[in-house]
Amino acid sequence: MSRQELLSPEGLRVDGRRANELRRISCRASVLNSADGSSYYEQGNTKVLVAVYGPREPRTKSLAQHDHAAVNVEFNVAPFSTSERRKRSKGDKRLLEIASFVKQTFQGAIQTAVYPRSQIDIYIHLLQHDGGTLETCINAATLALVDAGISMVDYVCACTAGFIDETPVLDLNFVEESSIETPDLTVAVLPRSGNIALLQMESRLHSSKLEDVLELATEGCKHIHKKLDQAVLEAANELAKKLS
Amino acid sequence: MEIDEAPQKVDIAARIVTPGTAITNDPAFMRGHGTFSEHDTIYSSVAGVVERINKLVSVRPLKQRYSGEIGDIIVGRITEVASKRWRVDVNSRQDGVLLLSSINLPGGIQRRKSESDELQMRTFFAEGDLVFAEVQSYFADGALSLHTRSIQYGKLRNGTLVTAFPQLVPRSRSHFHTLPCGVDVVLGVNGYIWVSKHVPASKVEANAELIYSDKNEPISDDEREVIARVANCIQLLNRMYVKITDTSIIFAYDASVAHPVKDLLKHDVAVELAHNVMAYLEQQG
Amino acid sequence: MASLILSPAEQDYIIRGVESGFRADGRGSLDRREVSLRTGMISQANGSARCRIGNLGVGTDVLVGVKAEVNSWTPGEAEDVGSIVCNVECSPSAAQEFEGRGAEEINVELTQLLDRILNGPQSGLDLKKLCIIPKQAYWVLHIDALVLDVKGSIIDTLVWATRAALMSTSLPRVVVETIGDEMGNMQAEFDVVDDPEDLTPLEGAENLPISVTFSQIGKRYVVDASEQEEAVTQARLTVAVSPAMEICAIQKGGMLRGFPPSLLTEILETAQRIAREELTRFKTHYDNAKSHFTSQADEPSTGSTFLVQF
Repeated sequence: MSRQELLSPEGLRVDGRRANELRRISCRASVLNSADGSSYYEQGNTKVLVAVYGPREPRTKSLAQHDHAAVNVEFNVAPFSTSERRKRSKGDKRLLEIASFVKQTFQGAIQTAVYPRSQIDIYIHLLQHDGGTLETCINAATLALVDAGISMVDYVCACTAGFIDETPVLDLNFVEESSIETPDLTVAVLPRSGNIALLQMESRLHSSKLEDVLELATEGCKHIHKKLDQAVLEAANELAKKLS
Repeated sequence: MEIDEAPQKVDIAARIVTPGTAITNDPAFMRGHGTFSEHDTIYSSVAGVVERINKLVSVRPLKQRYSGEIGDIIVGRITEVASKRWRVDVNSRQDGVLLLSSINLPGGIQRRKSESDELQMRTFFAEGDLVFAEVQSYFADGALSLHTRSIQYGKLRNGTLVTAFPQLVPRSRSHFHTLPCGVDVVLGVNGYIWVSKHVPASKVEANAELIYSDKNEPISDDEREVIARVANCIQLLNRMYVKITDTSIIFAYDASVAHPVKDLLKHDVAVELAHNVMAYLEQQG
Repeated sequence: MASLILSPAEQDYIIRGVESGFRADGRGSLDRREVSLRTGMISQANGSARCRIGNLGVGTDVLVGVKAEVNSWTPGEAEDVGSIVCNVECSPSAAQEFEGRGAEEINVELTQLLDRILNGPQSGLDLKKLCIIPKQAYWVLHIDALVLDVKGSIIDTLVWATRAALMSTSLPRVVVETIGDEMGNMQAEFDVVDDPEDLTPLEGAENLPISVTFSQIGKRYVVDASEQEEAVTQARLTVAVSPAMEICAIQKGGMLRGFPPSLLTEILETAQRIAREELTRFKTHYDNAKSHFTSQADEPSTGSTFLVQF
């Protein structure tokens, strides 16, 4: 890929954002009616739909754990989600990897010990892809889990950050993350404690820069937390009003 | 003693919280459902409304699967016939269990269970059957143990099932109602609601074989219409997130009479009816 | 399709209701449930639509994206036509048994059925219009459907969503030039105009058929069966009817019982009558979806992606 001007001399990025600016986030809980919880989440042009079922009776007895709930994640990419149509098989390693990251991230946040011998299913659909797949999946899944009323010790909020021309940049889009020179760091944090639930980086970054990039990503997570909390509160207020 | 303390404290109840929200750091409180504690502070683990009963703080989620309590009246569906027990889907985090020893056998309550009963368990309840039962206790792993040892409990027939949000069905003294329109309704606290033709209890009492019958009574077209109207009223209350009680169902039913049954689930009609019901319930306090 | 086990008493209640012409939700045999339709929510696709058939937000829910790609002609393929490739995927969010490879069988069945309805002259789409340069390049329309929820009448919902997605599809303009090379041979070359404003709608999409699925229950049949009704359906017959009232495809499914041929004539007549009503209903919903989309074009697409809320 030819070297593209990812950061203009004025400090603006390909989509016109400043270096420390998030893409527009818009989200909504309870979008599917049969699921126990669901959410639709878009960050820029990346759009994700999540359905959560459970905690429910495990599909097969072998999945039942005597002291905690099993968390099952299935990640599915719609063939029309990318600019070039591509149908992926269910066994695609990249998809399984993302499902596995999401699963590990939430195993710590969900109070699985409250639900022994049951199963929580998280089904994620990527409807449109424009970078930051993992972060959007995690944020959308958080919203859907809260919507399902599943006990969690905290939200899990994820964000990416990278490094372009000596400047740390927040929330990479597809063009930015596909550039080979851009290090791409995905962080998921539990906002209350500030603990990191997931950290993943592709390509290399000088160790002295890591702190700045990590700090920027964490800052992004805090903003996302506010957004998610706002969406949850709005939905909760509405339901509470109807019930009272 | 509660009255003495209350004015000094900020009222923590009725607040809407989200996961990770600190509710109180007052060590006098104990944590209940929907909360957890960390460094002497009680946090919410779900999105819901804070409730306080004396010293117990809990958060009632606005949407969640059914979580059982002893004494709950529920409707469940048999998912598996196992050795001396049935597993029952009760819309909860795991299937409930109905032990063979927890049901009334035909031929008298006093009859002893025999081996032949174990062999013919499917003649009592088979997969797919709907059962009206009460939560008797918990098993060690949290599964609910059910029983049907009462003449009103047992297999459900002559009607149709409506599934609702469990949060909408409040626990109350009675969950079995014969509505003025001549329809029986079982309001399962787990959100499964059975609407059926009214069959007098004396009829079942007189013929014990009927407890496990799979056969419906003859249902006339008029009865069918009334059952469908009640079922649709419950469905629309559920979708509009209105409490489902005998009062709200009766009111919705009466208000719906102007519309044909099949129109009740149409958006505009449903919204109008639900608003009427909500206004009526508010008026009633 | 999704496994729902009913008790014998419930089954009897549903069957007798259908036989007496009064279904469990109060509908008559030929009454259909409400439809919600939205279009244009996938900006990276050439066309997209989401359709839900069911009342008060509970229903079968299908999302369809159409993507057009230029393919190079290879010998053996038809010389002057484009092609349509269908793909249906049932999500585990519709039923737990669709997890992993659990949906493969139903995916194949629905994909083939959709293909039968859309591919071929009966679909009303002029495949010749999808040819760019004969024996050189043509358009492929990839129709990808995602079934998010199943509450009865999956085929009809799928056809509704696909029809709306294709009607909302527009293709980039292609400029074809004929250039002579040094040898004096004339050669055609094409260029796809990369301008999001310069698009032409897919021709002939409004000629696409609509489907009506009949479910035989007891001694009678119903249309738009609910999830509970499908659990007691003995035979299923899908009829696709074009706006010109031609029958484009028929498929019988559900092997519990055969269909008496005498019933077939009656069903085909009914299918045409219902199709006419459904096409009118489709048009109203499609026009609404379209105006909704244009009025909300600048807003985040949350509103247009998600159907009426409850």
